[in-house]
Amino acid sequence: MTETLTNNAPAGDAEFYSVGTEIRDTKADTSLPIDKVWPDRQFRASLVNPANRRKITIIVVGTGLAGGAAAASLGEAGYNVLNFCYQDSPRRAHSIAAQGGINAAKNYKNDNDSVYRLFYDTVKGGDYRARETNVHRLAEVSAGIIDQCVAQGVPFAREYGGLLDTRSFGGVQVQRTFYARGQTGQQLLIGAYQALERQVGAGTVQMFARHEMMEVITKDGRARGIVARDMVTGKVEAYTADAVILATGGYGNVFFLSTNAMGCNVTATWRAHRKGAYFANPCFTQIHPTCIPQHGTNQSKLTLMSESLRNDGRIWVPKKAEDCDKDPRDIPEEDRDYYLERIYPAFGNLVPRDIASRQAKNMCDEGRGVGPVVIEKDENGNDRKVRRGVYLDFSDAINRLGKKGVEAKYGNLFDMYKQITAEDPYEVPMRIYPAVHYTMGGVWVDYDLETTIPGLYVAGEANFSDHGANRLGASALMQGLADGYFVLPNTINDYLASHHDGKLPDNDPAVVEAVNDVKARIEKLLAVKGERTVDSFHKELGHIMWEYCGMARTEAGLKKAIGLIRELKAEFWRDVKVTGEAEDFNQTLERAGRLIDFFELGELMCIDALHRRESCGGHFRTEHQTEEGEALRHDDQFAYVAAWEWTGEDSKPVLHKEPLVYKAIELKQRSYK
Amino acid sequence: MYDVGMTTGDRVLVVATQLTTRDPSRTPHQRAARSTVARKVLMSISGLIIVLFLMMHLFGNAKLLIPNVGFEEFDEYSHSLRTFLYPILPEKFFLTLFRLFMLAAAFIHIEAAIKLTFRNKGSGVSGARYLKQRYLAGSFAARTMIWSGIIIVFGVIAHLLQFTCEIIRVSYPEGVTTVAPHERVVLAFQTPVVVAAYAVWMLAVCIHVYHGFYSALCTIGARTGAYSEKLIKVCSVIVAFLVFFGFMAAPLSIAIGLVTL
Amino acid sequence: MKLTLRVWRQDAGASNGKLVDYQIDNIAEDMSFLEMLDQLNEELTVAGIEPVAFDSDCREGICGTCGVVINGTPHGRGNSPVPTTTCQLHMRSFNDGDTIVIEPWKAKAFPVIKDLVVDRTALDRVIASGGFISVNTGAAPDAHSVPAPKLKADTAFDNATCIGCGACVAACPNGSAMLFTSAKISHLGNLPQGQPERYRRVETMIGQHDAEGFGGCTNIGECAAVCPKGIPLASISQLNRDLVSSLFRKDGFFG
Repeated sequence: MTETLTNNAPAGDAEFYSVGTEIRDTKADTSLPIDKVWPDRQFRASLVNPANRRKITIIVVGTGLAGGAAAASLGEAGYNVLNFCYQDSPRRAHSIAAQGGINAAKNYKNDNDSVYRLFYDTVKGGDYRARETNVHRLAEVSAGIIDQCVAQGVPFAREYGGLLDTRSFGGVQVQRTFYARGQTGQQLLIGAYQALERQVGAGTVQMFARHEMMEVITKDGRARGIVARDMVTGKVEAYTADAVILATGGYGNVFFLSTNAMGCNVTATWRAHRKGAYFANPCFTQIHPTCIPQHGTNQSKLTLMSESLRNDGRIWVPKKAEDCDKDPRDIPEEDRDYYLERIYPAFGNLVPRDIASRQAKNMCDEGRGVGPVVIEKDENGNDRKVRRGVYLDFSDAINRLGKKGVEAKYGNLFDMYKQITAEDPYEVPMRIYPAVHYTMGGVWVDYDLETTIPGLYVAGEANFSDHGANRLGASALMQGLADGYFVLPNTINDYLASHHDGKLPDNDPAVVEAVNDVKARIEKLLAVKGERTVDSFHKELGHIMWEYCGMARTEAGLKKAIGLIRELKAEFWRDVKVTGEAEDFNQTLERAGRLIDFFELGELMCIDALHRRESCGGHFRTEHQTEEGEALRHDDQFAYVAAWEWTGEDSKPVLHKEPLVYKAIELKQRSYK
Repeated sequence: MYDVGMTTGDRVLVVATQLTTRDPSRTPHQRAARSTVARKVLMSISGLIIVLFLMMHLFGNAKLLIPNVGFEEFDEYSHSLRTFLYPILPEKFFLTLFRLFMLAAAFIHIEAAIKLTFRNKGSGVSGARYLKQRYLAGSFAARTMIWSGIIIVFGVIAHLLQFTCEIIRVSYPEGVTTVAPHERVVLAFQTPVVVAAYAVWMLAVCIHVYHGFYSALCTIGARTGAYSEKLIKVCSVIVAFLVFFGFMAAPLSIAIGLVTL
Repeated sequence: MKLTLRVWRQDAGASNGKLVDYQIDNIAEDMSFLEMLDQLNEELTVAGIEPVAFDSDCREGICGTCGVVINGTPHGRGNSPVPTTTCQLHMRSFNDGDTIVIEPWKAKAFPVIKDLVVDRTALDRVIASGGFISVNTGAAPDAHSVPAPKLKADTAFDNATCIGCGACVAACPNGSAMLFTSAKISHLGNLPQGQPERYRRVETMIGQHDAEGFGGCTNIGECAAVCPKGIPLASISQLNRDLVSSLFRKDGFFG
């Protein structure tokens, strides 16, 4: 890293953070043309002799597309891999829930697609807040992912002639999205899982399911292992290695309600952050506009429905608030407000995710939402009754295409909706509402996916690198597999070639300290013995985040949220009730342990959102919008990655800026009017 | 059962670390040849052979019902079993071979049944499995194959003792140890208790064949899709009914007096 | 809605457990079954009773983590009008005043870890024994180099939808994992890429299946009746055909 000038936080922010030195990626040679950077890096990276690989141990945490693919590939390469996941089987990682598809620059449809176009679309879609070298590499390796998956037996959709089918997806004009019915994520993950199990059978990968990573072990500033809790016995154990890869997914569950799985958490990456890994752009969260709305206060998670529904469905709310509890079929056409078509006549219902989401929230905030009444806390802490939902109406499409036509296109989604809500979308308009879906932010990594802790790598959604401020549809699967199959196996060797000291002894002070820290944390949680349940705290944190750090953020709101989170955290340590024992199968303890890291992350998200005084992608600051209400970027001030350094529980985080320099692409303001 | 890194007590904690099976000295091919599936295939083939035999037997029995000449036809059929292929081969040569063949089929079938049943019972958990149990698809026949099978075995033994060996003699005239085949049948089924016992036996056969025929065809791979599954189901119903009513036709006719000596 | 829950409680490491009755009130019919259990656990925690341990993760019916036997059928299939996972079963399938019996998957190969949580890693070991196509990363030919006939690819897909939840084992009176195993056999065996290892695969997977202590298939059909993804019984016949065929080959190859 090159360290340059130091400056201080702007006035008013000084109480929340300070500004440190700039950082830069040093692994990619940006003086080369962009398409030469990756081949150059592959050539310059030091190699590890195949015969020496079996003496080197790599820990991989997570078994999703990035982690599973990395563990399998590194196992094939001959390394000794220890693979951890909190689920009972590696096949259950939440990559499995992705529906839509995976992008690849194959140009099988002969429609002007290319590596450069995929790169261009991804950078533009990310609102110019991604590092261009990483994104270009992603586009370069994308085609190989499809080859790899097909060879593994992933049953992609095919045409009658036996060749692969593709479709267009998420606001791009080429058909580059490969898909497997509505369950592409599942099929890709099963492919990676099979490759992983093959290595388990071959003995190169040792699988530790139902093990939760609790801490990173560092020695002399380098990552040397992890501390994991065996979730069956509750035993806290240290595992040491030559390098550690975290592929532990996103942190959307900080909102409590999200489309993430119940177990998704930030603990692995947050613990790495506390040990010295910078955390980048935490405020960049993606809100997906078409989820099934909340049914009540006991809701545990939200379910996403494919965005493709917006191709034929029309979104509306009643013009008059008093119509909101009427049967939608009884509301005449002239009393309906097709607000997206009204505000954005060119794109209509197909505006990007962030805009569709924000407008749905605005409509509900105005009191024109539909569906069941839910109780929320307003800004003064009082209960407020609102309806959180808007209609997605297929009656026009059914008239146009016939019920059969709609069924052929969306049948499985309609069935899913009906199973969850017991309403028939062929008869009654669907109700939808935005939900947190993906987090673009994550641990800061360089071109090699190495963090600021040498020997610690982060892959997949857990890192920040490829999607900027907004991720395009069908790009998450591509990034996870790219990192796991093609990037890490070509970069981690550069570190391992010169750092392979072998395992640390169990009695090494660094190991003992890390294990004791984890045990102390668990004891502290069990010792509180208060009155409130863990979930009640998590729900309250979620409310704060959603209200103040959700779809629209304001200076005052964010400052308030930081205070509220701190209060809540203090109350948590006074009044939480964690039942059961430390050394037992204890799901309450698991959740409590994850929640304490969500508190700290939530605070940093608000600080990051506060400091970024512009709107871009998933981050919308109401003070920074155009006259038409569009996101307004300030490239002159904020064309950088905000990488945050942890300095301790009671001290302010330090902001390190990584300037974003675009050589291969020109910065432009988005417009969807 | 399998090697793992760590255990606490007898429970496996570290998972899927190594692959071993009960007998690592065997090759995958050898293990496959000894698998439950291979055994089930043997059981299916032997079962189908027995069903074929039943059909043949059914045809022979039906001769009793032919008006006027039924008894002669039946005795001739019975006799020709002994002399089939004579004089090309010695008398009873074919019959002995055939008996050995059927015995082997029965042995294979029963041995597999016993082994698989013990294995399967052990694969659930000991004692009552679910305290509340409900079945959605599994027929009564499918779940009780071993019990219908046991009834059949006892029935076959009694049947052979009665009609082949004439050790069990029902309503034979005083002092007579052997009678014509058709007399054995008619005398026996004029006794209501014998008819009732025979009916219970045939019900067991019917139930066993109803699932067994279906299961055997599925096991040897005939179930290729939803349509073939339906077809197999229909066939198994037909075969099961044929067995029950076919074999009950003569005894019932005798019992109600349609056929008399 | 007011319900009586009869929940299986078993301590970690214990060899047996028992059903314990709990009363629960204020259950909305739009809640999922697992959200109802969440509410039970919140109430138990407040009352100072240790919550019921149960597995769940995605809660949208795709990850295969959740699964309990509800009123005698896995995933509560007997109460649901459509094939479902436990997380996608909603309380509207029950009536006010019902008694609901909740038990874990029970099979010799699935030891209970605690309460409703079982160890299903035997299924992973069945996959590790051969349920894959051996292709190293980077060694793949172009995706279009081998076309896959659509009908076969569709059959492969139907089988690839298996989520590995283990309901088939839980439902099978024999505790057999044949539906699970056959889904993988049929998935890979119907794709051109899966042919080279097709017969070796079925041999190793069946060997592992038996070694794990799963029972044999007697074509009862209970498995397919509860399968949330509709894996057909025809897959088991495909496995049988492949296995018989493999016995006349030398380790998966002619010769």
